[in-house]
Amino acid sequence: MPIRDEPTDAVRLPPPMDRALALLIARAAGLKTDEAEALKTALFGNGPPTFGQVRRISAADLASAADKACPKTAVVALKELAELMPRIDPRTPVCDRCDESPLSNVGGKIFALDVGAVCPFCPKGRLELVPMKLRMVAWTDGHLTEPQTTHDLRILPGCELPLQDEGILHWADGWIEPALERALRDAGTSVYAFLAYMRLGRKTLARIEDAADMLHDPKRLGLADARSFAEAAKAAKAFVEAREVTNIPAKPFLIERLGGRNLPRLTVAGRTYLLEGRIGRGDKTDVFRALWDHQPTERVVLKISRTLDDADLMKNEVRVLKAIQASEDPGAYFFTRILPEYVADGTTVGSDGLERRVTVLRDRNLFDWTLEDVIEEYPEGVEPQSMVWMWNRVLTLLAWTHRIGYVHGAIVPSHVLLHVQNHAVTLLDWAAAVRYKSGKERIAIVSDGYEAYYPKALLSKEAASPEMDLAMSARCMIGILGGSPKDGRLPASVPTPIADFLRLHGMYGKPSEWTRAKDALELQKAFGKIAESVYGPRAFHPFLMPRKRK
Amino acid sequence: MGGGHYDRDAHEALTTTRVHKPREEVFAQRKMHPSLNPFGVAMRESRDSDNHPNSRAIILVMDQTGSMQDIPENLAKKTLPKLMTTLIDEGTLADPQVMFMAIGDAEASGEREESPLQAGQFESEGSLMDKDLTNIHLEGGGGGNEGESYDLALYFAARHTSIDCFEKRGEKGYMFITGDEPCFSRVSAKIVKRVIGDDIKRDIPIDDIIAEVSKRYHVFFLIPDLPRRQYAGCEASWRKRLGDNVIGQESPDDTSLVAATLIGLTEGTYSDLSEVAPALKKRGVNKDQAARVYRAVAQYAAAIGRGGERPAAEDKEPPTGQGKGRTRRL
Repeated sequence: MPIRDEPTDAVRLPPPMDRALALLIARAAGLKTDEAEALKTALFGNGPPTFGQVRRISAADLASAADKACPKTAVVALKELAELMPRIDPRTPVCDRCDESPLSNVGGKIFALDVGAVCPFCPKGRLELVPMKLRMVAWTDGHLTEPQTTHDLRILPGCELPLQDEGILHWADGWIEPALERALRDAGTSVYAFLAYMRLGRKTLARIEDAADMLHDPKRLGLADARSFAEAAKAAKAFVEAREVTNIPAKPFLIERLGGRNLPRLTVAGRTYLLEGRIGRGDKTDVFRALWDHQPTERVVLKISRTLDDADLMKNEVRVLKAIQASEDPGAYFFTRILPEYVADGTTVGSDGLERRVTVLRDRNLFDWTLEDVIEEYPEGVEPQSMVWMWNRVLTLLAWTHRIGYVHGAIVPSHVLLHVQNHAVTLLDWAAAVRYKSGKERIAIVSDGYEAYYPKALLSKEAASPEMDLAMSARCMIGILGGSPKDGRLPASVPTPIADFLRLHGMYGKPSEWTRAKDALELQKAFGKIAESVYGPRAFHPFLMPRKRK
Repeated sequence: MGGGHYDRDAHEALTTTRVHKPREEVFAQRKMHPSLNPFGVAMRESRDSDNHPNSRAIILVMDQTGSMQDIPENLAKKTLPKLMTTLIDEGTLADPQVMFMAIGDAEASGEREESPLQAGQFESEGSLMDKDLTNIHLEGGGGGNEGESYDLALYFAARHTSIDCFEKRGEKGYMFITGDEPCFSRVSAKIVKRVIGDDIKRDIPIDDIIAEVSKRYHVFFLIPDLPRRQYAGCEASWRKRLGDNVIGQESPDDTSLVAATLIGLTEGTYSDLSEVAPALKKRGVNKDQAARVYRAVAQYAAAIGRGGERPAAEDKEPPTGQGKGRTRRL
C-alpha cells in the first residue's frame, strides 16, 4: 500500500521551528551550532524544509548526510536523532524565548512536553505553538487548499489564477489601490483574503477575470472610501479566519456571536469559562452564569466562594452531587436530569490574590426563580393552587433523595428553584446534606435569616431524618402562601384543610403533637387527596414570574 | 455525488412497506457492503448541482453494535423520510444531502470486527440514501471495553469529506453521532491504517480531531434514551468534549425529529425554544413526542442563545476579600 501524505507535509517550517530544528539536531547529535547547521543543510539544502521532508528522514539519510557534513558524529546519536525527527509536526511546541523544542530521546524512549509547560532549557521560557496555516482559502471558489498551492488551474480552464498574495500582485501588474493596500496592512490581512471575502462573502466580485481591475479600482466593488476599505479589510480577515485551518485549536465563533468576546474569563480545573454575570448570592458563594470557552460550548453556573472559610461545606456539596449523579437507583436516569449536575470543581485566584473555591454545575435552562424571589414578588402569598404543584414537585424530589439515602437539610426558600413555564422544580445548595440511614449524622449548619424554616429538632442537633426535610418543605409552602413559617399562621384566604395540613406537617409544637408521614410519597398522596377535595381533579394552573404588571 | 431529486412519496412508500419486516431482512448484509468500505476512499463529496444549488451536508453516524441497532432499524422502517420532509417543509434547508456512516468497535479484543467503519455517499435522493442505510452491515458486536469507534467516524468526516456548503458558502454541515458508550481518547494510527488505509504515523488525540471536524460541521452526540446516558459514564465522557451538543433523547424513536429540530434551531428556523413544540404539533407530531423532543433540545437551544428569555444577570465581578457568609454552624 502506498504511504499516504499528511495534509501538512508540504508546509514549510516557520522560522522559529526551523531554528528549533537546528537546535534539536545540535542537542541530540551532540554537535556544535555550525556543525548542526551544516548537517541540516546537507539534509535539506538551504532554507527551511517542509514538515514532510523532516518527517521522512531515515537513519540512513542522516548517516549519509553526516558523512558529508560532520563525519565524526556518534552513530548512536544519529540513530536517536532519526527517531526524533518524525515527531516534529505543526503541533510541536517551541519555547517562546530560546526556540528549543523539548523533544528528547533517552534510550529509544521519546519524551515531549505539552503547550504551556515551562521550558527546561532556559530560565523564563514557556512552550507555545508557533501559529501557522495548514489549509488556506482559495479565493476563487472557497475551497480549502494546501497553503503552498500557488495557482488555481481548474476554475477557468486554460487560465492559471494566482492564489497567493505574491502571485496576485504580479497578476495585478505589481500594484493595488494605495489606500486599499494600507487598509489591508493595517488590518493585518492579505490580498487573497480580501478577494475571497468580496467574491464569496459580499458576492460583489462575480467575474474572476475582473479581480485585478478591481484591485486597481475598488469603487467597482462598491467600496468608496478609506473607511469602507478598513471595514472590508477587517471583515475579510474574519472571513478567512473562520474558515482556514491552523495548528491553533479552533476559535469559538458561536460564543462570540453570543457576545462572549468581551466577557471576563475564569479558569477552573483546566477549563476557561466566560462569565455572563451574577445571578445570585448564596449562603457561601456568589453565583454566576457562564459559558465554557470552547466550541461547542456548555452553559454552566459557577459558585465562587465569597467567604474563605467554608471550603469544607463546598467540598461536602461536591461529594453529595457526585454521589447523586453516580447513583444506580432505577430512578436515577430521571432525577439526575433535574437535580443539580456536577461538572467540575477547583480553585481560582482572584484579582485580590486570594484563592477561592469554585464549583461548576450545569446551567438548567429557564430554572430562574427561587421561592425567595416568589415571596418577594407575591408578599401577600401566591394562589394556593400554585403552591399545590410546587409542593408536589418538591416532595417527588425529596422522595428520591431520601430513597438514595440523603437528607438535604436546608430546604429553605432560597434553595428551591422553579422553572415557571414547565412547572418544574429543583433543589439547590447541598452543602448541608448528610447520609441519614446510620441514624447518627446531624445537620451541622443553618442558613442565616431562615431559622424560622428549620424545625426545632434540627436546630437542637437531633439525628438527621427525612421528616426534617418534609417539615421544612411544608414551612416553605407556608412562606410562599404569605404565612409565617415560624408558627404556621396563614392568611385567611388559604382554604382551611390545606392550612391545617401544612401546619400539621411543619413540626410545630412538641414532638407529641407532630403528625409524621411515613415518607415523602405518603405525604404527597395524603396532600393530593386534600387538594382534590378543595379544588377538584388536578388541572394546570398558570403561575407568572414576574407577576403581571398592571 | 448528491444528484437526484428528493421525492418524499417514493421515499415514504419505500419505508412503509417494510415496517413489519424483521430487522435481519431489512438489513440483509452479513458482511461489509463494498460500496460502504472506507478503505482507500479519498473523499466523499457533497456537491452543489443544478437540481441542488444549495446542498447542505448531513452525516448520520449509526452505532451498529448490539445495543444500538434500534436506531438504524427505526430510521429504515419509519423515520428517515421524516427527517428530510421536516427539514424541507419547514424551510430549514433547501437541499439536504445525507451520508450514512456506521461504526462498530475496532478495539474490541477477542472478536475482530469486520466492519468497524462503514461510510456511504452524500445523497439527495431518498432511494439512494435508503440504499446506503440498508446496506449497512449490522454486526451487533461491541461492548465489554467501554467505548466504540466513534473516533473513526470523526476522523473520516475530518479528513475524507469535502463539502460545498462550507467550502463555497461558509455554511457548516451537520454531523450526528448516535451512541451509548464513551469515546476512545485517541484516534489510533494503527486502526486508521487498517480500516481506512491512511498512514498518520501517530495517534491523534480525540479533542484534536473533534476540533478539526467542528471547523466544518456542527457535531452532535445523540443518546437514544435517558437510562443510557449513564451507561459507563457515556454522557459525562461526551460532555467533556461536546458540551451542550450532547443530547439526551427520551426515546430512540425521536432521533429524526431531534436531529431536524437541532438543525432548525441552529439555522434559526425556530427563533427560540418556545417555537419548537407548536411547530412539531403543526406537523402532526403527537403531544407526548413533541414534549420529548422539546426537552431533548432545550439545553442546546440555550447554549446557542435560543433558549428563551431569562432574567438578566447582574454585571458584577467575582467576589474579593473575605466576604460575609450566611451560614451559621450549629
